[in-house]
Amino acid sequence: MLIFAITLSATPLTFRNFASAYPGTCAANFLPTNFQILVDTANEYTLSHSVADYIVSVLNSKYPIFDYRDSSCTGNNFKTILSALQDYDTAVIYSKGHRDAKTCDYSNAHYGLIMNDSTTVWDYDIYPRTSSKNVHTFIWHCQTAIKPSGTNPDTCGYRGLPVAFTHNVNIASWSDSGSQVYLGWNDKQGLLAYNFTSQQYYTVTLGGGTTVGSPQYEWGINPTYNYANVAGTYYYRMGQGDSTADALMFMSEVIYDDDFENTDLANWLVVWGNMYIELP
Amino acid sequence: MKNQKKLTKIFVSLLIVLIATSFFVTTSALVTGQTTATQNDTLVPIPKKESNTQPFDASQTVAVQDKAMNFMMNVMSVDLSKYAIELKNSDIMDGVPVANDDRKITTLRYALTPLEGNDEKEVISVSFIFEKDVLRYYYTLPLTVVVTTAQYADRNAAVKGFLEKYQTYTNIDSTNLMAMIGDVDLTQDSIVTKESIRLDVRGTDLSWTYTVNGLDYTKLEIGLIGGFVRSVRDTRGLYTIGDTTVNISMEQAVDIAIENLASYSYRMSDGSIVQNFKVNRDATMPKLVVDPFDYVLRPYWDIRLYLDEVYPGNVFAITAYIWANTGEIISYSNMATGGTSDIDDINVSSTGSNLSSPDNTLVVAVAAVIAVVVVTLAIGLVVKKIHR
Repeated sequence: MLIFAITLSATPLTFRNFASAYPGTCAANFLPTNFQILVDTANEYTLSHSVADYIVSVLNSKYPIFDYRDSSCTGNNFKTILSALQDYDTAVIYSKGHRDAKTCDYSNAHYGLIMNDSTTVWDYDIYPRTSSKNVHTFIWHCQTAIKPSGTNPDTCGYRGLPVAFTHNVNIASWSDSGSQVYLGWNDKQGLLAYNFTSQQYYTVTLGGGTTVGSPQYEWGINPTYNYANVAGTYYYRMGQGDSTADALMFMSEVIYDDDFENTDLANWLVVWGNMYIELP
Repeated sequence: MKNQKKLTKIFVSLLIVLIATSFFVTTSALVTGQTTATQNDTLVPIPKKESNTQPFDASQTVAVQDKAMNFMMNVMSVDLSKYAIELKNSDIMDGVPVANDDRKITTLRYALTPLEGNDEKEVISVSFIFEKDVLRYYYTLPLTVVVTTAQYADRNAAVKGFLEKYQTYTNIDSTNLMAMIGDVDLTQDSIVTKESIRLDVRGTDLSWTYTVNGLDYTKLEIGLIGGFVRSVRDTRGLYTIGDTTVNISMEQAVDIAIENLASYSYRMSDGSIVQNFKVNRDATMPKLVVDPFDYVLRPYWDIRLYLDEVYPGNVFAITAYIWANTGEIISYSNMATGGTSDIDDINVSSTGSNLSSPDNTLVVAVAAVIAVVVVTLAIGLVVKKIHR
């Protein structure tokens, strides 16, 4: 009797990740960008919507999609949608915007996504609303690929967005196993400048110690293309049934005329999880 | 005995209450997130869009399919009788997304499944990217699988054999490339230049680059596994070489970029204009590069002008593109980052404010169940001891 009662009480826990209210996949596109008037240029704002339109068209041809942008992309809506995606068998997520960061106890770093209402949805806010059902996630905000070392979770909760979105504390980068893939950005290293006086190259320190945790779309790669084209081309290929590895190879070939590892994306754009899986 | 019965009754009642509570708490925690969305009518997904357009017809790529099969048979030297070949993907990208160009790029992806063996891992993906009906990129995955029947004595012989077959396939004269490998040990990293061709050997990758004034123009690159060519990138048949003149020096280019920056501005979302940028000449990054412009390769200066501070829109630098022959400005572009605040600037202590989050509720529920078990066992032991 006792064993039966205890088993019964634990049943919902056991089956949490296996029961779905709706079959199939649901997608979400978030564009909380421009939460303050001086954060994004007008060009960035326009490009952000063009890219969002494109990605939504690709994903919506396959799945129902939550498309939340600008003032409708609030912290509450973001969290609610993350939870709602768990009603499906699998979830696909894209988000473009800015990041927040802070430390909790023992100086543990935590990362969050800034919403249009200026609230931050932290990694530990995201984790309880996600699961291993999130099979394809691309978070185009700064430092979203950073997986902090050390205690995880800490007293605040789970740390780092790759873990928050995938529920895989041990997720490996550029892996060939697993059923999830997560793309995010590291800090860009080694921005070089040339000193004509000393005739030496040196690593430049940006104003205010600014780090470059992700490129805005308007950043030019060459006179023809920018990072909006990187995002668009990647999703074009994913929509055609490519794996992330194939899609990135194609994108590098078309935009950069080169291998991915020879582009400025290498060590900046990071793939966590299985790079060989396709969209569901 | 009476005391024992009384104690047991109290214990059983307590147990039922605890289990019921833990079940309720656990269940409610699980549905919290799921029901929030459905209770709010505004947060519903857009239904999947039913497309009116016909699926892509693979017959549109028949011409390049023939070229791909020809490549597999006659350049890769694959014994196609040993594989089941399936065209997994065939499409034409009509223009780069979110760009104003009209490039049409065809992708073909074949799955080669060995007729012997059923291990899915053995399926070999062979991909081709054609542009203007020219093969610009071919590669196989996984990277470690060899699918050729050709046998060669050593790497030099394998590369020479590939170049001979590839020359026939492309109709592009490659005798100068073949001549270069005669005296080079392709198992050692090296750089060899003959006339205007530079041969780079890096590990298992080789490239022949046509250079002018030290700048790279068209290129043939191959990747090897043993004697098997697992990847080819070739821009020789795709691009033509335009005016290679470089009349503008690095110093001149930087001066032009800074002078003209005075007339550059950009607009914010509220309509305000950002201009009057301050740049230190010793905080610039000039590079002379070559890129295709409408399939014609031309040299230009790519100059990053780091700004004295971060300007509105998170703009920390502005890139100037300048033609190397005339010094004319091609365009300016903002370099901006998505970050906002530096982690070192913020020091927020833990408040434990997320205790009401679903996962923490789950932890509480699990703890309650465990507590029930422990209390049950403990009381059971005490009762047993008293009874004795």
